[in-house]
This record gives sequence, C-alpha cells and structure tokens, in this order.
Amino acid sequence: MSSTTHTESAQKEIDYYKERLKKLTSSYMSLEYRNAALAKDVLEMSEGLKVISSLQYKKDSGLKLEELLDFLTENINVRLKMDVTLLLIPENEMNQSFKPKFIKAFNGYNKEAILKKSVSFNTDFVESKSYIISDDNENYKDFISKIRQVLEIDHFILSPIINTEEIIGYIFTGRRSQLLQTGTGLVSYHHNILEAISSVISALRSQIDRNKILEKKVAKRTAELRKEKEISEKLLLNILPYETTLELKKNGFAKAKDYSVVTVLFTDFVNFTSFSEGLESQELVAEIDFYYSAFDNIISKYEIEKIKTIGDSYMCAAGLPVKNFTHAIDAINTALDIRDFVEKTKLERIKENKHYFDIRIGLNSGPVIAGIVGIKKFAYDIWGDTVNIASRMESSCEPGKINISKSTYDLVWKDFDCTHRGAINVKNKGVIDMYFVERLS
Amino acid sequence: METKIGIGFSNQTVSERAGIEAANLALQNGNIKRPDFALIFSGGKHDPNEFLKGVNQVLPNVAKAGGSSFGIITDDFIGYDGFEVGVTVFSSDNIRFQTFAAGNLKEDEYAVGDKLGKKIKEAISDDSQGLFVFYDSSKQQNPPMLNFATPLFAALEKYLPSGLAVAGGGFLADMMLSSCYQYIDNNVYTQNAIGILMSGNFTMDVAILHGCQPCSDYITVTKTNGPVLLEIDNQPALEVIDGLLGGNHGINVKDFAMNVTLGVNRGDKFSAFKESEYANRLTLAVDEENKALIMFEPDLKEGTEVQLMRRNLDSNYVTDVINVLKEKNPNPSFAFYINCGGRAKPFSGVGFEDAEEVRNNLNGIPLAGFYSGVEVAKVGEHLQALDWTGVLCVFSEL
Repeated sequence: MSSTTHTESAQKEIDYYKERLKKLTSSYMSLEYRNAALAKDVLEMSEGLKVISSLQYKKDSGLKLEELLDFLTENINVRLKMDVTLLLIPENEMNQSFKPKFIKAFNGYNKEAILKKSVSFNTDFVESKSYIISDDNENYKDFISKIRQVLEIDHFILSPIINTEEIIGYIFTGRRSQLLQTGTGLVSYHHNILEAISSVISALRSQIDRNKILEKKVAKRTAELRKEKEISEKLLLNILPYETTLELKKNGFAKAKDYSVVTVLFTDFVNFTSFSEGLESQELVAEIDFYYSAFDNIISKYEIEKIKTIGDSYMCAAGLPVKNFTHAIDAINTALDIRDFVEKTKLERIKENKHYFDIRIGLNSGPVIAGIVGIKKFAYDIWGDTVNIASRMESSCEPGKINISKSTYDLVWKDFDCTHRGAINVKNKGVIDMYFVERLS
Repeated sequence: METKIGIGFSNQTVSERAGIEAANLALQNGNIKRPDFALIFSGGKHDPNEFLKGVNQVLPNVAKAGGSSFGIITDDFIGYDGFEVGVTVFSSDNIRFQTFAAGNLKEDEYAVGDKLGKKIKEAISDDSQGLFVFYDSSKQQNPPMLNFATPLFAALEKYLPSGLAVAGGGFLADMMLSSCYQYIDNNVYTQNAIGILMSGNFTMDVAILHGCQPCSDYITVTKTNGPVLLEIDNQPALEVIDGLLGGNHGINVKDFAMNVTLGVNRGDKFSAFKESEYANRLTLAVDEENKALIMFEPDLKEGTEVQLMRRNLDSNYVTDVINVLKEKNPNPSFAFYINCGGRAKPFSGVGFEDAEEVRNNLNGIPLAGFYSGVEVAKVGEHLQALDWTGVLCVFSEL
C-alpha cells in the first residue's frame, strides 16, 4: 500500500471518528439541554407543591383571610420565580371589573399605580370560568393585550378562584420578557398549581362562610343569654344586696355577717286592717304598691337596703351590707322623706275627698346579724334584738311621727331636732328612752 | 477575640424587610454582639436602597461591601429567584477589612482597573492576605453586552503583589441584564468596581471549580467583533453550534444564552484532558439576526481554536478540589463561593446543585457566597476572567 493510500485511509478513519463524535455530541448535548429544561420544570413543580402545602398549613393556623392571601401571593411570587403576583378581586357583583390587591413584585414595578387601576373583564371569559396562559391562547387576544397594558406584564397566567360555582377572584402571576433567554416558561403545569391553590382558597372561603354563619348564630344566642342573664341579675339585685349577689355568684353561698351597729327602720300604716276590710283586694294591692313604690325610691336615694314588707309594714336598714358611719342619719332622712310623702299624699286626698293613711315610723340602732337563709327563694334578712326594738319603736310611735330609741338619738342629736318623750316601757324590753324626730337641725 | 462569622439570608419580596431579616439572622447565627464588617448581596428583583436601609437598621455604622447578585449561597439556603439576599457579618480582632471603589466602567474598564489598583496598592500592608474584587457586569446597552473583566483585571493586577490571594466576580442582577448595584458602607453605586482588602493573621486559599469538559473536536473562530462571535470554521457561529447539537434538539436558539460554553485549551492540544488548562467562555446572548453568539468576554480572537464544553455529570470533581483545599488548610474558619449563575441546576443540565455539593463537602465550615455573571481567579500568575466556573475561597486563622 502506498503512503498516499495510507494517508487517505487514515484521513477517512479520522473523518469517520470525527463524524461519530459529532453525532454522539449532538445527541448527548440535545439530551442535556432537554434535561436542563426538565430539571427546571421539576424544580418549579416541586416549589408549586410547596406553595400548596404551605397554604394548607397556614389555612389551619388561624390567620385572617387577608393575611393568608398576602402570604399566598408572596409565596407564589418567590417560589414559582415570578416577577409579579397579585389577586384580582371583583369590584361589584356583576364580575365585570376587578381591582388588583396583595401585589408582590420586583423592584421597578409600579405597585402604587397598579393598585389604583381596575381591570374590566371580558364577559365571555368570566362566564367561561376558564384560565389564560398569555403566550398560548388564541381566543382572547384583545383581552390579553388589555391585561398586558393595564398590569404591565408581558407573560402571565390568569386563573379563576371559584367558590360554589361563582368566581370570587383571579390569581394573576407573570414574568417580564427575558433579554438573554426566551425564558418566560409559563406553561400548563403552572396553571395546574394555581388551580390547586384556588381550590384551597375556595375551601377556605367556604370555611369562612360557614364560620360566619356559625358566628352569627353564636352571637345571637350570646346576646339572648346576656339579656336573660341581665334580667336574672336585676331580679337577684332586687332580692339581695349587690355585694351579697357577688358573693353568692362567686362562692355559691353567702355567709351571714355580724354588724356592730346599723339603724333599722319600720313603718306601719295606722288603721290599715280596718281600712282594708272595705276594699277589694286588687284596690288594696294597688294602694300598697303606690306607697311602697315611693318608699323604694326614697330608700334608693339614701342607699338604704330594703329588707322586706310584712303586710302594711315596710322594713329597711342602713349601714349594711356595706358598713358606714352615716347609717343613723341616712335612716332618719329616709324616715323624714317617707313621713313627708305620706303627709303630702294625705293632704291631696283630703282635698279630693279620698281615703288616706297616717303612718308610724320607728327606728333603732344597734348590732344585727345579716345574711341569706334557705336554698330556695333566697331572702336577705337581719336578726337580733336591734330589729325587735326597732319594731317596738314603730308600735310605740304616734301617727305622723318618727320615733327613735336612745341608741339612735345618741348618733343623730347634733343633726336633727328631737323631742324627748321620756322613758317608756316597751313590751318584753323594759323601759327605753324615746324621742320624736321633728326636723333637720 | 475569637473571630465570629454569622451568615443570614432572606427571600422576602419587600426589600427593607429582607435586609432586616438577613442581617438579624446573621447576627443570631454568629452569636455576634460587636459586628465589624458585613458582606451584603441582594437579588436583582430588590430595591438596593431599601435593602441597604433594612440592613442599616440592624447594622448601623458597620463597614460593609457587596452588590447585586444572580443568587445567594449560604449554609441553609441556595436560591436564584431574584428575591434572595445574603448578609455575612464578621466580628474579629484578627481580620481587618478595607474597601475601595472606582466608577465609570461603562466607558473604560481598563481605566477603572487602573484607578482601583492604585487605591488598593496604597493600602496593602505586610499582613495583607486576600482581596475580593467585584464589579458591575451590566453595561446597560442594546444589543446586550457586559463590562469586560479582561481589561479591568489586566490593569488591576499590575498593582497587586504576587503573593496576594485574589478572587472576584462580576455582579449580574438577572437574565434581563437589569441595572446592577454595588454597596460600600452606606453608598449604593452603579458601574463601579469595588475591592475588599483583607489583612491580618490568617490565610486565604482560592480554588477553581470548572466541572466541565470538551464534547466536540476543535473548531476555529474565524470572525469576531469584540465579544461577538460571528463565524466558526467560516460558517455563521450560530449554525455551527446548532449543527453540533444535532439541529433537531428542540431548544430555542435564544436559550443558547447562559448555556453554550466554548473552552480554550491552553495546554497541549492532544494530551489527556486537564481541566486546569482550560479557560471557558460562556455565551451571554444570541444575535439571531447575525447568527452570532455574544460572549461574556471579548478574548476569543480570530484563529482561536475552541471546543464545545459540557458539564460533568457527576459531582466528584467538587470533592477532589475541596479535599486538596482541606489538606492545605486543616483549620478553616470560613468559606466564600462565587459561582456562575449558569451553573445553577436549572440552567446547567446536570442532576445536582453544584453549590449544594460544595456545601456538603465543606462539611460544616461556614459558607457564604453568591451567583455571579463572571468569576475571577488567578490562573498561573495572572488574574483570569473565567466563565461557567466556581471560585471557592477558604479562610484559616493562624
């Protein structure tokens, strides 16, 4: 074989291997490029799944809807490597116009201006409840151009959020045109991710709606209960002193308490029994109600505790359940007001030729025990000799007068003009000095 | 005082909050009470002023330097979505940091290198150990073109002592070549090159991680215009590459950008492959009208023989390089990685994340870094702009 033939043969062999290398390189590099594209897709898909799972997690973490949507656009934008992500929220029920909200975007995107804009939507598109990938849609070219112009992003996906077959908004996410590579890369799996995200939002919305209904029911029932409670408390306060009510509510019981000195007041209508015999029971009750209501107002004025009524006798006490140093003065002021009211009523009725009452009022000061007894129909009551003597003061009184014992007199003599009646025998109590209270001194 | 290094990141979309979060995390991770210096990087989708405002809320009156990045690398986080930021805080009596800046790269890269070099030279002392040089890659013009590292570093290296370890990178904000920013203390610059001179009782070791090899025979550049590669083997460059890829590869030729890499073998043409003898040049953009490739650097001259390069399919090369570094530095305290954005997993076509492999192999050594457009390190005695490469720096205190 000549050297020329050798050279030709060697060259042929080189060319063969060069061609083989070229073929191998091309198939290898082709695979490598596809691999790069696939790797990018897989990475973004896995990031998309992370967005969905983080949204699920956040959904159950008690965030408010607004906070959750803000978290969502942030996550989509960062994880799916978008330049801009926002939600389009309907401005009215017609779903014709949408406002951008929760914008997350790159530096340079004019968020403030975009937030002020609204996007009017193509009715057909809204009704179709479909989505748009801007670079792969022939049906809504004009609408896509309009979106590009308003939201200032070239490549985007617009995906509806549907709740109970109604569109409650759109997720908008997009990228700028790349200078170096084609690089928009918005494809159907991006939409699949957004669709899954929309489902989570939809479920959340349903949950919120259900919660709202539930909250309304709870609020209504709470208001009813509160009203019932207020009524109960009011009733309780009518029966028991406020402080005793608190103690009862807190502990389930209220202890009887010793008071070293209080002033007890009794009233009694003169000749009530004989008068009542000529009245219908309803008239009688109305008459008592008229006077006792006035007495109730008077004792409220002086913050005196009503104890009870026994027929035509009205009993109250000053200096309990909260102890004070003015109990005797308060009680006598109360007695004077009661006396004056009864006297005034008497004069009016005389003019009108109607029946009237005279009243006897007796007061005594001294120690008592106060508390609740029984487990049904609670009643706040006081016990002790002081109470009995107060009752005797009333029975020893004259009509239209206020009769006080020496123990009360000793507490009020500086404040009121009193007339000493002398030492008077009291049934089972011996002789007690008594005084008529005339007026404030 | 023992040197403390804290590394933090954030990928919030609100720039100020991202700055606050990353800076706080850095202080917390490093258990740092007295911050002395901070390296700060922000993704291209962030507002640089707002980011710096956020960082300054946590690190007021602390010297700092950094810039825009294509992505962030830390111990806990690797990201290149545009919203990530990274803050590395140093607290040390042992390492001193001095920062320098020189501007107007767009007009004259060589002049900027010269100016920066003079400033650095004046500051270099006997205990100066390492230098980072970062610069704004984006020239902000159409067709897209970068500020070139080759003239910048050619001018700069005249002023640097041969024993000084140097590493650097070109800041790239994103695939749109958006404006890049540089941070020095409380200033935000653009079109600047910055230097960070590190002095003290420590060492800085630099290693290059190419992780790629040739997959074609030699082809010859036959027509260029600066960084624009017009013809290879007298055929339109784009057609030649398209042919090498088999024609029916299904890839949009525009996506050759940040993917197609040509290697120049500076060693023996037909000897066994030796990675360290290759300089790679990555395609920045494709000029479809002229069927040309626009390269990151303008140094592929007519007559240069190149090969189409591909990434290594396995990550063993990372282990090999880092094992050598560990042998030389038995007590490393910190590592800094400048990695080409094109090497991020979604762009590179390999099944592993290069930065993740670096982190795993460092095995607990605190790691910070960023994704760049161009990487710079010494090849032999000269500073060389490198593409599609990672530059790993390891610091050891003495």
